Amino acid sequence: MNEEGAGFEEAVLQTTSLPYGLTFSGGKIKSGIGRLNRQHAHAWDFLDAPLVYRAMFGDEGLSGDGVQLTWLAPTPFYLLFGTEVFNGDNEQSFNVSDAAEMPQHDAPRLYTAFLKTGPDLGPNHALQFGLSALSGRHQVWDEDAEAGVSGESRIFGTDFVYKYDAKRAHGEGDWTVQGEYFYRDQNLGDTVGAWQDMPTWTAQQDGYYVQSLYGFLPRWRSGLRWDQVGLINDVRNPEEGSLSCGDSYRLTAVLEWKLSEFSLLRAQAGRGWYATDDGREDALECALQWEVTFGKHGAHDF
Amino acid sequence: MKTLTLMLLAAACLTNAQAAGIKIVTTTTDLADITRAVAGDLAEVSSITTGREDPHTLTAKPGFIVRARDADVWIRIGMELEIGWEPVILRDARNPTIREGTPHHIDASAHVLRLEVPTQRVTRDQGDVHPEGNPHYWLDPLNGRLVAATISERLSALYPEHKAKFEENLRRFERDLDTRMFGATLVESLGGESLWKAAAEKRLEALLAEKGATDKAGGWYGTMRPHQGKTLVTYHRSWVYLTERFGLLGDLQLEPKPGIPPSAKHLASLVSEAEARKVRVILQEPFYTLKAAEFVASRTGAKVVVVPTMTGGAAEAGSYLEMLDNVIRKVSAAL
Repeated sequence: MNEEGAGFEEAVLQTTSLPYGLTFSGGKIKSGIGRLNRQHAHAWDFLDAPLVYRAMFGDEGLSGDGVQLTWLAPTPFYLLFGTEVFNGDNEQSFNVSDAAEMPQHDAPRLYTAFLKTGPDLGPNHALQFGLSALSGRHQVWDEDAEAGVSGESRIFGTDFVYKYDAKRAHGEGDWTVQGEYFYRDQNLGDTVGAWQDMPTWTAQQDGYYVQSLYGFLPRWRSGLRWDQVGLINDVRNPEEGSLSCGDSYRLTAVLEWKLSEFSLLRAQAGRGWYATDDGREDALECALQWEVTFGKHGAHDF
Repeated sequence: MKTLTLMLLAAACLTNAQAAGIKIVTTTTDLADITRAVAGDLAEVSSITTGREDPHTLTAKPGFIVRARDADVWIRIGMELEIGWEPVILRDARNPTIREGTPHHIDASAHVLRLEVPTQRVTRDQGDVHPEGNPHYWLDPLNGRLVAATISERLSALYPEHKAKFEENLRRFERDLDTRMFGATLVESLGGESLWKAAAEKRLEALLAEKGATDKAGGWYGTMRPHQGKTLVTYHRSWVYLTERFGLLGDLQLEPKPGIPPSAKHLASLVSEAEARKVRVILQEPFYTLKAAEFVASRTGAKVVVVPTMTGGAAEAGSYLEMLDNVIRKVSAAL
């Protein structure tokens, strides 16, 4: 639910007994790329998504109408391959413009591939690595200029998570570290309208985050997250030519109190330094959250 | 790319070559130990939990998924004890053989004697109450015996060629358990079956009197008999099967409701209640903090006893029967 009303975050049909370790899902699905993308917002450790997710996929992450096939490889260690085909309509990276002048492409317009793997480190430790690749069509339409570009948008990502289980009650002594990096390369050469015959719109941008949380008391966790986007931030567009924009970064701290198995309280505070057209601006962000779960006892993914 | 394919192929062959025995994965260490007792050399048994953690919560790690993927048989405690993590492991493992409801998925609670089955609608304001009853049933040795029988029966149905062996192992396990429970003398003269039948029907004392064997009671029963009627305080409502079996009163908890942390207000009223009922022992598992127990102990003179309720939870709890033995010894010493 958001300002625009209530809707389904995910509506999936999934197979349960395909052979050879395959699982097929279809519907309105959240992409399996990265770590955070698949998790529903209530399962996040922080109240908001990292900057790199908001820049690359938007606040709701990468989701849409599509199908997914994953394969659990018959290896002695955990190795999962996945691939997805989406209609492809993501405002940040795989946009479909509805302007009449823009070329219309039929769906599907977005393909992804990913793998996740992790060794068995015994009862106290858990570790998993991931690689993701996305390729799809992206369109930008500038209403004022009455011009647009269309082309390919590619994203490559890598992620890791490590969890330590102290084997005490209510998460005391448990520790987790997680991070993701994404690099996006956009090549939009199909120009339309006022930008006809102008050079290709290109953009290379990246971002990452690293976060860590620790259970310092039973039911209590504290965490720290470092966010950075735009270490690579080269854009060349018809309006402004070649630009090298700056990076933005943010440090966020969170405190979480699990009141019971079904409700928790979080307080989050962060300081961000954002690159804007007017130079660097810093901002202080605070938020409080009370999360209650209804319905049958939920089971969370790793 | 070719090297990678060859490597994956070799790895796949390796996992297939290891199919020497029946691969059984259990959710808890107590189930693993009982299964080993029944299956003997015929199976490779491993447990998802280690016995050192709180069984209600567990992160479904990638390593668990691989083990479940390769399992021939899956055994769980059931009664929603593992509901927070079992479904995720089974879903991600993509092993159609052990999916819930299939013959290779064994719910060990099938024939156990259940306590605290709710008679009214269960809601969140009662705390973490399981709708099928209290799932910590393995602390009653009779339930351990019934679980072994269930596992033997189900494995015999899946692998009829080994039925005789499973049943032979089951008899041995039952004799071992019965001897520890009642003492060798009683078991030899009256037999485990009739002793347990009487115990389940709450007429064990009557049976012993009838047979003139009242003074021959040994084992755990003999040890705990003088303490019948005494009250103890426990952290969580995980001890009810033990207290019920041995005639103790275990209705006082440090938690105001299951899963809700001890509060100052609740502990204050608990102290007066404990004094009135002459509580001598506060019992809890090693993974809980000691603050609340020590608070009540200092104000009542009761003794805090920390002892694992799961195999592997401590060095002295190396097997299911040793775990129970350790519990009985430590509790009776403090009462």
